[in-house]
Amino acid sequence: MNMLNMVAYWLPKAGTPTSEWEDGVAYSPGSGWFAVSDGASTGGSSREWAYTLASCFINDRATSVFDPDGAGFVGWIKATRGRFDPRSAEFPASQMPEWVQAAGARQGSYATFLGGRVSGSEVRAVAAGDCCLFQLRADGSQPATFPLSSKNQFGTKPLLISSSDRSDEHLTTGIGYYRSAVGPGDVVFAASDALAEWLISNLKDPSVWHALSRIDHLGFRDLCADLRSRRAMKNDDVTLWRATAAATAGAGR
Amino acid sequence: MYTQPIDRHHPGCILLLVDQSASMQESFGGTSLTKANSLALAVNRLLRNLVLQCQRGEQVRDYYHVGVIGYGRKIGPTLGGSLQGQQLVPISLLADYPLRMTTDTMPGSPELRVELPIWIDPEADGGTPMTAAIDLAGSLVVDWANKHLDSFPPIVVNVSDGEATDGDPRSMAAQLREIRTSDGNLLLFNVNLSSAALNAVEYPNSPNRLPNPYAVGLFEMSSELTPYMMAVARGMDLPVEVGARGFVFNADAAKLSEFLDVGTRVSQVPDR
Repeated sequence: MNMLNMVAYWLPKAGTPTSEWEDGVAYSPGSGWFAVSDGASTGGSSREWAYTLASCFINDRATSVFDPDGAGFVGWIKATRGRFDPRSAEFPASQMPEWVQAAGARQGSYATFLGGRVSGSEVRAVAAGDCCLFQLRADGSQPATFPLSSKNQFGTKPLLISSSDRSDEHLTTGIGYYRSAVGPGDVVFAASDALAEWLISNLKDPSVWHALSRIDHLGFRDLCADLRSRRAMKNDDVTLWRATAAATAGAGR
Repeated sequence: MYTQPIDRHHPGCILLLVDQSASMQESFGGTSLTKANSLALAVNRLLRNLVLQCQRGEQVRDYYHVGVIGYGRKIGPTLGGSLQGQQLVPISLLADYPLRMTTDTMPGSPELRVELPIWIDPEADGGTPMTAAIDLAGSLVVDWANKHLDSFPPIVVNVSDGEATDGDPRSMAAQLREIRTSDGNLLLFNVNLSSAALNAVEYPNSPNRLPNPYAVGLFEMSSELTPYMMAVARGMDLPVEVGARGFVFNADAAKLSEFLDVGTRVSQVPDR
């Protein structure tokens, strides 16, 4: 099964500049790897941590992360911590006093995370927190959701991945794993929590999924503006990744 | 009410009133520190934690405007150095201009030392002009509230070890609590510090257990905790029941720190 197309759209919280968007998204159409991460305000440098998680995930392509015993994913997180440097030149220089930067480094950085791979005729994913995956079948039936399935599961205290070594016990029990066949014409989405919560509230509305399967960047911007103005979606950073399977076997890339 | 989230367009306001009267040089029950030293340490730690709550990306975002008024021989803003005389300052300025840095123990790891910025020093001199301090607080926060009509209402926390020496502050406190934004009335909380190791009365919902008319007066001056603060307090295993007021009588250093944590929990600083 070849994936026709992968795209990602994102917007910062309304009223804030794009430089303050604190989600991370990365994908590789050729290999099928993708990741969405949402930096938490707890601790400092969470935007940089979300970026690091997403970019390292698609670069490393460590299939052991999908093993349900958790050892592979936790091991990958530990390895990624060693590469995390919020003061790296690839990030904007901090304007905070030195004591604040030092305290933030001590606190560690936190983010939710969803990463996966679409390969052959299946999709696999691993998640910690409330970034969600949705798989829309070509027949238009109600999408599958992962790791959350209802609106009331969203809250202010999702499971977070820390950039420090102090707190991993909760990860082993809290990580979710997804594996499913992908058929011709299926569409797979990954979204950060604000959009994911709205999508879960509209699982039974086929018009939502029809639109989302075709939306472009301008349509995405207009959709988010409309949802925010109606308070149907909370005002937060928004990220959407989408992969569309070829409608017939062997077609596409 | 009391649900407006904090952001840069809707910052919160936290004003601390700190007793700097002569009696504050007495030691705290069971410790070697004076009440003045303990209070200054608690305030500096609170301000540090507020700054750290506001760090996002490469900057400290102005989610709060913060002030400290001292009252003793003098009454007025007590931030020093580059912030001297400033009444309510954006939190980013607070981060940039502490008086100096010192070291502090790390919570949960007393063998580790961490940096602690100092914004106020302990003082203990003069009487207890609490009524005048509350009056001054009102003049500061009413201007702020008029400029931030849609923000979470101001929080004023008054920490003292004794009775006011300039009259009954209850009337002035009632006027202060009339200041409001669209999200509710100003919240006035009170902490009474005790030199003696007496049983504290924490977050009462009625004056029944209070030992004297002074304590009852402080109870009457105190606003109820918001639902979010109640949830925070319950999460800290604090004894709060429906109608709990932001008031602790006979607080020691530990209860003072707990109270400052609970009482400055404005609704939903972005936790994500």
